[in-house]
Amino acid sequence: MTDDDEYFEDFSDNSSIELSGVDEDVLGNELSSVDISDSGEYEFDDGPGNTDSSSEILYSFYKSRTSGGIPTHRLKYRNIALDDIQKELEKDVKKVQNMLQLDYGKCLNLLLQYSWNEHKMLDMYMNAPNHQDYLLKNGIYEAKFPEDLSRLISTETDENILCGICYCGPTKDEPMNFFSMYGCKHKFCTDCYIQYLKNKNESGSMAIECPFADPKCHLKITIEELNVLSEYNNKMEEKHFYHKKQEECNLLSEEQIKQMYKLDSDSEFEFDEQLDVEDDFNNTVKTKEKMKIDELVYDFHTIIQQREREEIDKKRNRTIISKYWYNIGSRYCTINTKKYKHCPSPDCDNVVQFIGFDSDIVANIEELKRLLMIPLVRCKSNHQFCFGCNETAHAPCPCKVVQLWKIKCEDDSETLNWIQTNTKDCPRCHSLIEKNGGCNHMTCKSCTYNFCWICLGDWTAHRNNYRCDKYVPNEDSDVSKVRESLEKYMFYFNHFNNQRISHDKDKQILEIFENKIKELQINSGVSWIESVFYKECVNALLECRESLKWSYAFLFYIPNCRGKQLIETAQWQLSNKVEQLSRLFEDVEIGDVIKKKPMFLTIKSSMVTAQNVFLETCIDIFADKHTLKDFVQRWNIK
Amino acid sequence: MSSLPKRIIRETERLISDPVPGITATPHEENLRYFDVLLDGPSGSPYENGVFKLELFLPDDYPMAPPMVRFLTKIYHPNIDRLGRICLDVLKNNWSPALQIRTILLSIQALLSSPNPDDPLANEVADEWKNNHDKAIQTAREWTAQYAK
Repeated sequence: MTDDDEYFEDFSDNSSIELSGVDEDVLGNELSSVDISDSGEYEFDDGPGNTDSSSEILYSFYKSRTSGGIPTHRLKYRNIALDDIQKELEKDVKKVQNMLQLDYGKCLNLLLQYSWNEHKMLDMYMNAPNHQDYLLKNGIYEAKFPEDLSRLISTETDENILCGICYCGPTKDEPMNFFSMYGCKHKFCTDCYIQYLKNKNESGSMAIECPFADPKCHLKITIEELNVLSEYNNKMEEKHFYHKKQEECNLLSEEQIKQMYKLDSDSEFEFDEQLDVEDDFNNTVKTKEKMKIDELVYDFHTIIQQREREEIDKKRNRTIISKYWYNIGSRYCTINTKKYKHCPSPDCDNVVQFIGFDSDIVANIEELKRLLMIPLVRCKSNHQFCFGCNETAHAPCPCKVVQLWKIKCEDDSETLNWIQTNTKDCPRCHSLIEKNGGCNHMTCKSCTYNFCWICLGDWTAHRNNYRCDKYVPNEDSDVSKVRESLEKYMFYFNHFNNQRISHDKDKQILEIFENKIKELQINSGVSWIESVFYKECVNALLECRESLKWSYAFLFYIPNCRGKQLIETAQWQLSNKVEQLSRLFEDVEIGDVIKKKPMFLTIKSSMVTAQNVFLETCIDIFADKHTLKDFVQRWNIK
Repeated sequence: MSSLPKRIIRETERLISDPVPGITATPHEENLRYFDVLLDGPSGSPYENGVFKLELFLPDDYPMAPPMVRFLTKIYHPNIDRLGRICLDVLKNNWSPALQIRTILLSIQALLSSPNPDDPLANEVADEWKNNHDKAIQTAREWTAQYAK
């Protein structure tokens, strides 16, 4: 805990500076919105290469108070990498190591065993009648490792030795390398041991036991021993790689190479192909070159991101050790969900570290949730998600309401959809009637009323005419209460669903955009810098759609009051802007994109402003403590 | 059949040359990774005198991954479900590549001798096993007589 305290002290100065800065901004210009996508861009600019970016403190809401003066109890967080967690964990292990005077890896295993609960582990250790037995029970051999662990790998020529996994053994002419842990001496050939560890790593298991099974050996491999095998494996792979290279070199004669080049007459363009440049343009060399530069500039962004990802991926998977640490780090995050959260976005490995709140009232996430605030955070790759419930961003809907809504949708939506599409009320007694085939002449079982399924009119009017051309009027006043509440739910659910569908459709735009913009660059020689706004607009649009989507779930639960009207007005304004931008995307010709850039930007910024106003209005509704209390009681939010 | 790892060949050879009493495992000729298994019900258990048919398959990454085993004969047992799937630690988390087909089949035989109704796969059977033990044993015996011939 002392470590945490130091944290807070360290950053308290920083945060106050940041805070006052933001407040000034707010006071100076009410309308100046801190543009969400702009801040994202800023993050990116600052991101790679800048070591300070990881310690930058970020906030869950763009203002500490709404324009109505309501505190937003912002959550403070940082974006970190899993490597940073490793460093922190290493410190923990060292601390334990100093106390227990055991080898590093053994302390690590103990901590893993107790899910990093240091106190419990030490307690158990100190109270154990016999330390040796205690350690053994946890799969640890007490005796200290020798200086040189590389001797754990031995080269054998004895024909009586057999690897218990592949059933292969050495001969005098073909020696084999075997590995055994320091504590148990159960030998398996290095290839099998490495494969075994890789498999265990892949399945994310830590504290890997010796594979020996008769009787089961419960000794756990330490990081030191892993390291021996990991390094051995690296060496072997390098050797293998080198051999393969050499073989390839030997295989090709000069003539073969010449032939290859002749066959591939476009070999000059090999490099271009990598960059996806199409060669069949009749442009002059100059424009081609310019194009190539633009292409490079455009791709720079994506390429850099991709390379970074690949690098991380490689680093993580390259060695047994790095993958093992990766597993430990991600497990640690899942254990300490209060402090760390993995980005829930698919294929995203970023971690968000919780630092604190800029509020005197809120002490933890649960309290924040009870105030119906939403701790929205953004990972390094700009994915927005909720720190409280690990769902994708769901503002303005508080976490608890999201839960309620989801349960409701699960319970009701299927049935309701079915009822809505397959049944109608009897026009006389309002009992639900399903039409299961046959003609349109219905007879209600409860009141024996004869009516037409299409127009719900009296069947007598249809007696001699089986075609119904009557216009279907809206059902009026007499709707039963159940139907009414169903309709209310259906109304919000349909809107919610519509936004979801629109969101998905707009998302497709983003994908088409990639191609469009590439075409644009090739055709008109527009540089990447000039067209990046397009992507920003799409992202902003998608986020606003999410807000709108959740606003319907939110409104379903809000009782009729003045606040609700205000929210609805703000929502209406937001959805206007969203539709406007969405339409612009649909209508715009590729060639006109740059010409319309100011239009895009104007609509986007007014949309973002509308979004902020809308979110603030939603927060403001709970400014009145009674409203909050009523709301919490009404929906039984704990 | 593409090349079979040495390990599988050796194991198969040993299963045939030095069989375990009460257990026979024969590989299919067209697929040497697929075994027909006959398992005798252990004496002293309600499965005594029954011969149970199982199928066993060695996946591609065997022995790093455990073999897949399933009862084909209907059996009344709290850790074996209607489809014959078996809930046994060594077939899942506690699998070690140093285990073999032989040891796995012995473990299954041991499971028949000592069912574990506290960690059930077939819930109804397990409930019966705990609450109405005599009747459960009786049913197991009847099923053995009826199906495991």
